[in-house]
Amino acid sequence: MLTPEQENSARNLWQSVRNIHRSAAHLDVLMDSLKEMIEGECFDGGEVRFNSKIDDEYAGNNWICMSRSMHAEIWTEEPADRRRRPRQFGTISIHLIIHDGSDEMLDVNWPWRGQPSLIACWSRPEVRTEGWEEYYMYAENFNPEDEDNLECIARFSPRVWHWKSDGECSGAFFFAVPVFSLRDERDIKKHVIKPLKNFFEGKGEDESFPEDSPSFLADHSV
Amino acid sequence: MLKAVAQGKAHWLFDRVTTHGTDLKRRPQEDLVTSAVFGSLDLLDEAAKRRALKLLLGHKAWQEFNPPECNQVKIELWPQGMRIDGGRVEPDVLLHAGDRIAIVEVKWYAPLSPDQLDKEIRAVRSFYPGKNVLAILLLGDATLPFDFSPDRIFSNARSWRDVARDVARAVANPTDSPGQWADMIMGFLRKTEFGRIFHGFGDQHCYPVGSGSYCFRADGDPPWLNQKMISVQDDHYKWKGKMKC
Repeated sequence: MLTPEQENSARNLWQSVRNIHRSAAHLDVLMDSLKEMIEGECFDGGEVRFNSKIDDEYAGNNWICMSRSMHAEIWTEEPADRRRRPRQFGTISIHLIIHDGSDEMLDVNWPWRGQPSLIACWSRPEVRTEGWEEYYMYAENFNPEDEDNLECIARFSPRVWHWKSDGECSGAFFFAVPVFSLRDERDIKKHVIKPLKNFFEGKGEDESFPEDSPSFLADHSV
Repeated sequence: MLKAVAQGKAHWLFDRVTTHGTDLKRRPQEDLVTSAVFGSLDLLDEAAKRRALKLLLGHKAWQEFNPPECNQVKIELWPQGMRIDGGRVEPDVLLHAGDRIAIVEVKWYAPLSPDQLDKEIRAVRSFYPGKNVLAILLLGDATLPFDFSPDRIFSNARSWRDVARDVARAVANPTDSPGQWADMIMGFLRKTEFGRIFHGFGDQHCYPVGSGSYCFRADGDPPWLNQKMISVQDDHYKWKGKMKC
């Protein structure tokens, strides 16, 4: 016989997995749509080349995949002059997080915590340093229990965060939107792709987000 | 699907004992999809069939094919008897309208063989010498070969997701929609790996799993106060009789 508490826990686990199972197909399609839509765009004249690697962040086991990430590089077009070669000038990274794997009660005021979120990252540093191509890999799991994340993720403007390296802006930025605010591909285009394109072209936050953007605002106390 | 079985493409799936077992090298999905999608068009009237074909081919390829109003569009699946360079060639779909022909090569998991499209064009031209092959469309999860540039023929690659997107738009706008065919194709594509497009989480609601916990950073500072508040209208309720607890 199970105690009422055990029964409750069992029902909760059952229901949680059922929710994830039912949502998985939609989450897969969301990633597919995002990839295809980003690939179909050019960012400040640059073409998108997706890295074949897709990162899955597991909860320390193979039962639950908490997030999925894909990474793209932005390259200049093939120059007409054959002696010149295209060069990479930016990166885009998409993280779909259904949980950050941390304790709910942890005192971290990242507003995207607490619900499935889509985190759109880009980097276009003015100065290329050695290993710069790897920038898009840095903020890879958004786990607030990870000390690197806690130290380096900082608010840049009301809706934009950046990755600070040694206290300096590294040139890698991101914004986050609640997954459930995206109802179809038009929403993806309006609230994710267009802002990314605008930021790539050097526009500011006010110009980049639509008025009704569902993207998370920074907590005032940050 | 009925045609795929009738033409010996997938009949073994329906045998009581199959010799193919689970051999993945021979999977008839491509033929079943071709048959279900294009074969079903023969059941539509001419106007609906044209609307459906435009959705499948895409605007550009349909414009190039440009079937005259005076001709009925005929759909030929897996035409038999074509040979080129001593080998058998079998395009998946030929669309005929008078002397105009469009070729559709359908892909569903199977890769595109080298020179496959070139051979199909040559085979169709030689099999129908008096006709004009105007367009060739690669429909599915494949890309046109880098060096593919057929002479005097429009060529394009179109994914099933492109089709699913256009069909969904047509369903939302009934004047352009080929009716129930579009509903059926959209339902089918949404269930498949290649044809799914994101349309939110729909009517799916997640089930509650018990009590939740919230973290407040300061007194009277719940996190949702950072979001713009939505104004609400007053609702009035009237209870009849006594309320039961």
